Amino acid sequence: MNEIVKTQQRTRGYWYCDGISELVGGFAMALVGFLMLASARTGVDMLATMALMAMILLFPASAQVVRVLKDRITHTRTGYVKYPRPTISKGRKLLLLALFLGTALVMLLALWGGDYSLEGTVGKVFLMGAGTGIAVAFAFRAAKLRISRLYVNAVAVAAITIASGFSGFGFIEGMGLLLAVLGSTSVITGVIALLIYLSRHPKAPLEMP
Amino acid sequence: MTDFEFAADPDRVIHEPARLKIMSVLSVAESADFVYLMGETALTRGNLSVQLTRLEEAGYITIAKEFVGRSPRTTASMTQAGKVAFDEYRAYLASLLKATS
Repeated sequence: MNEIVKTQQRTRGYWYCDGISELVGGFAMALVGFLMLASARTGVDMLATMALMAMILLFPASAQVVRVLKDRITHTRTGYVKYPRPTISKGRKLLLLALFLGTALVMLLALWGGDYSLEGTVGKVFLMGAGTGIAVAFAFRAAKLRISRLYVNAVAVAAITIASGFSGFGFIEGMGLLLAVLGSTSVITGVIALLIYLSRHPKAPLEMP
Repeated sequence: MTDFEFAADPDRVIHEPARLKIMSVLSVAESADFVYLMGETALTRGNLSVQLTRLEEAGYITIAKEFVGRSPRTTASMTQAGKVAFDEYRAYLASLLKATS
């Protein structure tokens, strides 16, 4: 691989160099996931409300927390890179369309059979579709950016998705488990990545000119 | 590209290794700051400033200064002319490799 490509790849993967986004995002996902799981297992409505509130409040707030942490930890040590807004390529649009049509078809077939509940086939299709999509997205990103720890997330999500498919989990329970496992895995890989980053870059360089 | 075009000189502004690295970074990022570029190019502050100025004078990048809290941040981003020049340089390299393989 030539130096131009290596430099471009390092720059593309720079967002993940410190593990902060995984750590913060993973914490939010794990919290929501565990609340959903607890709500499904115990049947306490308050837990479901708390999960919904956590989703509404934590997901947008986590983006702000990531920005502040990156400003304080990463940008002072190894610099700042701003990325262009992502554009959806023609191939990706077709893939999304195929995924949407496939899911819609399976849902229609499930509804045709009279199974209207989220805890039935429709919920299972949603769960399997979301799990497969997330696992593929992680694996694709890991391969593209050559960040091997993202494969851990992909494998964890794939394993939970397959387990959910064979078990009798309802939608809420399955989704809660998916988020809890993905979030916990992300927190662990994020903490390890952050510790490695801090050990490699213990001090910020002097003020720039 | 013909043999005659292949024999033509590459863009000397981009051809220099440090400037090529700067352009490589900015080709995939909207902008990058001085600290990041220093780490990627392994240049001293003075040398990096010189290379950035050279690229700015060629119209390939723009340099902006801002404050994040109390800290100054100098960022560079590629212009449209820079994108065209970088694409042409990559095409030149590709033709060079093709002609010599």
